[in-house]
Amino acid sequence: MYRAARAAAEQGGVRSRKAMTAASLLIALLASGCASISAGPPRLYAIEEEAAIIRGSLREMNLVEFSRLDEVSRMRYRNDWLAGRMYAMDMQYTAYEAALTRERQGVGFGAAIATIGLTTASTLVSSVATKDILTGTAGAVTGARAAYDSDVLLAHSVQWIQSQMRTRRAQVAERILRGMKASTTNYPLAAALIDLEDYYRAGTFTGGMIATTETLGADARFSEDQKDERLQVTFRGSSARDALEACINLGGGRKAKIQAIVGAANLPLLLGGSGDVEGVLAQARNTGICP
Amino acid sequence: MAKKTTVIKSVPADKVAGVIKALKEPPAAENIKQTDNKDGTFDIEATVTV
Repeated sequence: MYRAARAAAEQGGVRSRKAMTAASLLIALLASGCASISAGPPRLYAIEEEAAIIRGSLREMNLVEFSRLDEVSRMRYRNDWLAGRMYAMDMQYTAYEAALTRERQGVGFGAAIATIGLTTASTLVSSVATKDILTGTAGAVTGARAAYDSDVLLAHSVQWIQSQMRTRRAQVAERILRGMKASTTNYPLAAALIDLEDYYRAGTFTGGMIATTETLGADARFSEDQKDERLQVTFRGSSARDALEACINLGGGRKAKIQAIVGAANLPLLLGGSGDVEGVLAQARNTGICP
Repeated sequence: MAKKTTVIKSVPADKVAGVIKALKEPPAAENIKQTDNKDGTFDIEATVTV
């Protein structure tokens, strides 16, 4: 009796191990076959190698020597320095951005894959005990996924910050590229170096966060401005209002002239009978705009 | 250039045409809209660029 029970238990254990191995293999296959979450196609040179090549090919900065050069050489020196450093930063940024993206997607994707793998494997084995183990494990993984989903807000924030980093980098790059066409008097080496530092900072997480805050702040301000710029008045009839309206309707640029007195934004208010209609009409009459 | 929108509420029906004509005189206001209040008055909305 004891031996039979032990044999059955051992058989169940072997089945469980086999099923777990099958599930692990399935996860590995699913994850390894997905190119969309890899960093990208292979490079001819590794980033470190290429960065070393750029560092080696850039001449050491010597401001005294720079100032002694003629203008054409100075521009070439500045532009070579800028382009080389920008390229190096771009390479490093690509790797940094890919790492951020992997970090953002990795856990959620891994949990989803594990859930699919374990639940699928549980349908392939017959033993009730093994099924229970597998679906139990799947439940635990799904629980982990749910916990991770609570971080979805953070993931979206990271995505937004990444987008801000790209935008800010593009803005600074545009400024640098424009500066590269200018003479060294209009775009001196020091200004170019400041822009290079700005370009680097734009590609950092902190830079992205600051840009995000600025953008959100600007959006909020814009919304406030939009709200402030919508005025409402209730129509109030008067003989002065009617006379002002009749005067504008005579045409001949009278509207523009009255706008010049009261401000373009205030004219509809006057047509609604709000504001100093009498005063404006008197002024228009005195200056010969209105009859 | 900023845009300012003004809504003139409860314009009597017989004044609507005159107000709209005045707003359309060059330099014309944009997005002139009128809403019938079903009580013999209209609301007129116009956007001016300043």
